[in-house]
Amino acid sequence: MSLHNPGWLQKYRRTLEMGLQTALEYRVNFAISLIGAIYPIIIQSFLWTAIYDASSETELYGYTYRQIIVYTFLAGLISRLVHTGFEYDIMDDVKNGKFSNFLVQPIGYFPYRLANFFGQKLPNMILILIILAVILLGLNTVWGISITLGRIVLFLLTLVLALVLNFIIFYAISAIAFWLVEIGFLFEGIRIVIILLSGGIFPLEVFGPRFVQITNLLPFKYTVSYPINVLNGRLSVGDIGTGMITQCVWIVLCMLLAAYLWRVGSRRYVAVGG
Amino acid sequence: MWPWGGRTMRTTAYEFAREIKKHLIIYGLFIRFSVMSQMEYRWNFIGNMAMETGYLCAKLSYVVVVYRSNVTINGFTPDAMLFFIGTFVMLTGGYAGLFMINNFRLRTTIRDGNLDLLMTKPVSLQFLVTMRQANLTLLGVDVIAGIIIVVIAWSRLGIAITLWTVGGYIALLMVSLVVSYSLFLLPNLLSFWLLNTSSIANITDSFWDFNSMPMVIYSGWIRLIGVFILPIFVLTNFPTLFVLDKMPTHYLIWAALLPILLLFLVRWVWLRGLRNYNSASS
Repeated sequence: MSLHNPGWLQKYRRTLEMGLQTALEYRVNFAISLIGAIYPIIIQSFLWTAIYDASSETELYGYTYRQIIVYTFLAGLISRLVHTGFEYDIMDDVKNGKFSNFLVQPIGYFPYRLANFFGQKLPNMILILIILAVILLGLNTVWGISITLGRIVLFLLTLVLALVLNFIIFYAISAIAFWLVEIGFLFEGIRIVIILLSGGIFPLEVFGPRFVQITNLLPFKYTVSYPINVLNGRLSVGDIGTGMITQCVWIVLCMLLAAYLWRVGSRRYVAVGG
Repeated sequence: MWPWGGRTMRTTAYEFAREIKKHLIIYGLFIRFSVMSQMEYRWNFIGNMAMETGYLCAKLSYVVVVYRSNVTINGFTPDAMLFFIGTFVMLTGGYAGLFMINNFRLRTTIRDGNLDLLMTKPVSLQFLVTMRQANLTLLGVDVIAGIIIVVIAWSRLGIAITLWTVGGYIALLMVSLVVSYSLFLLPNLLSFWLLNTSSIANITDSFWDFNSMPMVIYSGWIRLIGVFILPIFVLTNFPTLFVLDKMPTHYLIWAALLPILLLFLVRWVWLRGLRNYNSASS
């Protein structure tokens, strides 16, 4: 398999297109899942409004009321955007022996899943970015919150890195499928804890400095909390640069971990069926 | 004066009691069967526990927010909020463990025409379809965690443990269970008329989360809608308000009426839907 071989890229382009088609086929499903994402945003917005109304402070956990509302909206949307879901397909592939196809066919499982994931995310990403633009425009009109073009570009860059990082984290986690057969529920449990640790429910600062210190040592906050803080102006340009480098470092580290887990795990693989 | 004779009424009451007893015995068997089938797949059971623990962590994150903010919201202190969250966790276990799985299966049962076989059984079809399965793992994790949270909050609030407070709380929890059964079953009953209702059901299922925070955080008209029109706030708010001695009389009356009204409504929709049901195999 060579990089100069046009077929190398073409097969993954096709995989990306397949993912795109799947996303378009289930577009209503995605739109509905977005409605599901709106509920927590509404509940949390009311909660924060009540808390800030009852508090004598103008700033809580380092966030003004407006900043926390913006955070709440963005966290709901971004955690939905980086949400994976392919781990269930991997579980199915391993459990039902479909993984064997990838062992004999000239296609890598990792690039196949990555291309498929990005293909599926593309229309969702466009839709979420449109909603995001509408929300930011609304906030600009109502509260006069303005965001520079530079920050938007940096945000989009960190968002792409966040997508890749979250993909690799869940790719590594999916390797559990080689050890345990029925783990759909376990994935769900892991997912919800990761959302919490990534700042997808509340800003991490809310849980105290020690919690922030712990999350600083983990990759999860670079999937949701960090891109949001890039956009809402809480990070300096220097911090943004450091954050992007950290995102790349975590991508490499998680890839190494995933490669190790998949190498060890695939040795345990037993093809089931004919 | 009753329109029927004393003897007939006695016979009807006897038959009713006998039917209830029969259904309770069958329900016990359903629960036993559910436990056995869950214990059979050990990793499924552990995974289920892990999932529910994850969701519990997410719910507890609200506790952290409330305590660290340390504000009183419309008379709700952080301890009162903790009590509310404990009740929410407990009821989530009740709903998710006893009813949700049946609601999910109801859609496919109707769509695939699988009611045919169930119709021939000598028990209530609605009972059979809507209460057959139970997820004891979800029920166990949430109910135990919920009770612990409620006990902690109860002692922090210094509320007297009397027959009135504990009895009223448990009675209102039962009301909430009946309301949750009816309220979340109704959208799924649309499966009798529509081919695919999963989208509608997904939206209404997510509605459950509106119970995660006390209704005092919402404005007056939202509260009004949430209590009387789309009575989602009744579920977690009423038991909590009762124990906190913040329950107005009209809420108490509504708590007594609502489950009866909703059960009749569900029964009526069920029977109407059943008339619309087409067997898939014939």
